[in-house]
Amino acid sequence: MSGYYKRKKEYGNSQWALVWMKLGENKFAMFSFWMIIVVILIAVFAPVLAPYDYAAQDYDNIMVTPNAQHPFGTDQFGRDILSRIIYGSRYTVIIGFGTMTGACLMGIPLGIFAAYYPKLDNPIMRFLEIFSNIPDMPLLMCLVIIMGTSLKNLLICLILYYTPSFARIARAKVLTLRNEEYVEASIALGASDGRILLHHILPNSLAPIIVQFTLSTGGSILEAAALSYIGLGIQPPEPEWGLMISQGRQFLSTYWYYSIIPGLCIVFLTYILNYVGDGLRDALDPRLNH
Amino acid sequence: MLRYIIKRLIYMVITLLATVVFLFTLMEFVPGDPALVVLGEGATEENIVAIHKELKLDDPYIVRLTRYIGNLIQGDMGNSYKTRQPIAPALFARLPLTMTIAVWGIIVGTIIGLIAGVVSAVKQYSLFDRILTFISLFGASAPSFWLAMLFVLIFTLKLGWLPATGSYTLKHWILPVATIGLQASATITRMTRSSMLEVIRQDYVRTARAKGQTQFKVVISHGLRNAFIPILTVICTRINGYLGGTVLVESVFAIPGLGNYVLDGVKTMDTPVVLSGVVFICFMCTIVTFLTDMAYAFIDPRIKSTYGFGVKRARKRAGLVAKATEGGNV
Amino acid sequence: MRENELLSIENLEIKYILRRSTVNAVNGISFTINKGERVGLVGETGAGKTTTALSILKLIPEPPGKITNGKIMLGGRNLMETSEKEMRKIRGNDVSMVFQDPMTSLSPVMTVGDQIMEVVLLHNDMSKSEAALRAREMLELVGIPGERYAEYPHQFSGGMKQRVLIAIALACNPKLLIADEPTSALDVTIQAQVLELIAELREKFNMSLLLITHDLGVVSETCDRIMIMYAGRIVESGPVRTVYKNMQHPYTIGLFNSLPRLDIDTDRLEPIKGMMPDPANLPAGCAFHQRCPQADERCAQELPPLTEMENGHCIACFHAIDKERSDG
Repeated sequence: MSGYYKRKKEYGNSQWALVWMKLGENKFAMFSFWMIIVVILIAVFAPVLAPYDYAAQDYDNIMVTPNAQHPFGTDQFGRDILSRIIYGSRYTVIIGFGTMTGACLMGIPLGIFAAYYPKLDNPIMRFLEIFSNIPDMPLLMCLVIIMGTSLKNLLICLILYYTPSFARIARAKVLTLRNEEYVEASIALGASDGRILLHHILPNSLAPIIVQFTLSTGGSILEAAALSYIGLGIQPPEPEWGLMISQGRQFLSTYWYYSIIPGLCIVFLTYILNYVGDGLRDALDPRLNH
Repeated sequence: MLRYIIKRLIYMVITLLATVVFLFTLMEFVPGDPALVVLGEGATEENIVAIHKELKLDDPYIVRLTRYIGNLIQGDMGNSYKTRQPIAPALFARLPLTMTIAVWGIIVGTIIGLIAGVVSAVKQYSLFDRILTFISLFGASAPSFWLAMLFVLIFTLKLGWLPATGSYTLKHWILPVATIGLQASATITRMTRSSMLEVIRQDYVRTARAKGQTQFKVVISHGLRNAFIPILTVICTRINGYLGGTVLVESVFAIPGLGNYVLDGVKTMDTPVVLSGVVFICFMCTIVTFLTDMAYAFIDPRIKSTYGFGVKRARKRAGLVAKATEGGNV
Repeated sequence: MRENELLSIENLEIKYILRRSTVNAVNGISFTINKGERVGLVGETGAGKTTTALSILKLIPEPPGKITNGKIMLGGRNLMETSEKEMRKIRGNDVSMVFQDPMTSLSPVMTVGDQIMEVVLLHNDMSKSEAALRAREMLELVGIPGERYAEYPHQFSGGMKQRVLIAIALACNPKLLIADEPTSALDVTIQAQVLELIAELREKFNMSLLLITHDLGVVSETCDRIMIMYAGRIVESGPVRTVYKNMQHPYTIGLFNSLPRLDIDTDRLEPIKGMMPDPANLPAGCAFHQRCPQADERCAQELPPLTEMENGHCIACFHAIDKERSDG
């Protein structure tokens, strides 16, 4: 209890300052957070960081084992694997964060409308229920067969897949918040629906949405890699990590690092995203405040 | 009990029907003429017309939908465009392979996950807990196909202990089951741990200890029993997740299972195969969900007391049976 | 050990060792409870009452909690040296406890009858059906129809749940019942019923009672002796009548003044100024000196010992002791 008050004194009353502070207490969560920033920076500055062009083929250096020139070796076309991984981070970052941003933008309004307008509630939620009743890969396969394979279509598929979960969180949060005294008080004061949404509901539903965002980013990265792996996602010659795992498969016995390294990159990124997500969930849990 | 089962069954059928309608409608948006898929490139105009007639492709949407559902109820899932063979037998032939791995993987994963999660929660912040937390988060963060490849690399290619592909003896099952099991146990461990951590801080656990109950029984019969509902949900999601993602592990171990069949359909634009394959997977997932609902009935006191199971035995023990039969449900 | 003594606690110290700080929950308290005696332990939230009670059953969550010093004797046995296995035989059998919040103190997935049966089975050599019958009797004893044996806690109201918890606590005829604020989570109308039930059953089973509460009125009705606890120490104790008639410690006086009274016409109540000190950071000297109107330098430096005055009335305040001595 004392720690809580001390922290409150140091960081003021802002909930987010407190959350940041609590996340900071978990050293590895903080490290993970900064590593996510680093990965995003790598994706942004890929052309500067990559020692070679990701598509440059060099037939004199095919399947080179890791050495000083090629720290992760080269592939069957003599392309530098390190450079491909650096460029590949762009796909992963775009897919991971793009999916979640899109799913938030679609799902949150849907959920809020469903909760706010009881007439819309049943149709919207039933439809989303059917949608989320279909397991992820089959649904994505159905969408891919309709839309074909490209980065844009992959993004659309994943956004559609993740929309229901955000809608459900937003709806549940609005339904519980609407019965809170302070929201009832502002309704009694004659506040408009829009004002209540913006000033009371949205700020207070952010916590579970942020947690879901972080945890699902990892999930969507895994889905995208899986789709690319079975040939329904990003197509060759693009350097997507899941695709690289698939391409390296035939060389597993001799050049194992070709498949294993991109996989490690996926694991690393998903791991730190999940870790930050877990940390945020704990930090945002008001029951653990004391 | 019967009332509950019937209620869940009706709900299951409605969901399934809605899913079929949804998927069928979705498939309407597949671009291109199906006749071209059947005939391949360079088909003549007459052949295309003939195929349209043969497959009744020009009927209105609603007619085709009702026909599809009608056939589905009779166990006919239509024919593949590519092979012109019926889909249902092909799916059923592949089912045992997929299910063997799924069932064993989930059993192994559940056992490991429950034990690990409970120990981890009871010994929170111990070295064991930290190591386990790391492994389970790793398992939840790794793509299943990559994990499968890692196993193949280590146990088949480097150590030469286990085969990766080939005819199905016990040895061949180990790696696929281990892959599924590790992934399942990772999520189950995580859920068990967090659910148990919440439960063992509850007042009723203290009450049980104040009764003089042993630590083990407090943890199991008061802790785990109360923590089990979210764990059960995760187990169900895991099974459904695997049934959906079966294609990934199947592709690494070259198992001709359900997933590979549907994937081939997607690659060749064979819409009926994809539609029926996905419907079939959804059907199995719905059954799993139904079974999970049945399992809830044995642990959730709200369902129990509403529908009156488990109550009879307790009443009998307390010598209240005569009244129970008179009054029906309490 | 005196013949009549059931429980004696000597110089008990309990700390919660957290990462950032050490919370001094109980700081050297000593008291005894005689056979058949009813003792009230009064203090505000955070004074260490529940921690004291849990230590008697050795149920302090460990870590972070730790009994750092002291002795707990129960019927001639030193509980500090008793093994966990032996403790299990004591819990629920010799000493049992009714907890504060009945809403959360029953397992939601077991029928109430089975929860009573559990404790009966643990401490008696009985078959399941005998234990179930005993559980049913206990339900009826606390005023719940036996037919409700097979119902789940969510089908019961708060007051009914507390009755079930009392049935669990009394099912094995304990020698000492600890009731930790048994009524504070209940509706006012139910509170009196539950207290009456506890008093009635205590009489019937001839148990000792340690009643923890922050309600001075409850103590005056149900207890023989009262102990007032502040910041982990007992500041005043003695027979209820003596203490109520002649309260000496400024904290006790403050507590009484903050209660509304029917017999005296006052315009406003006088709350005690300030807050209880942070138990992780207790001041030197008397823990109450920062809020005490009489405090002087000595109070800020020296810890006043709990000193017996007359008829078992003990006070831990320099000023009160001096006054009493000069009067006497």
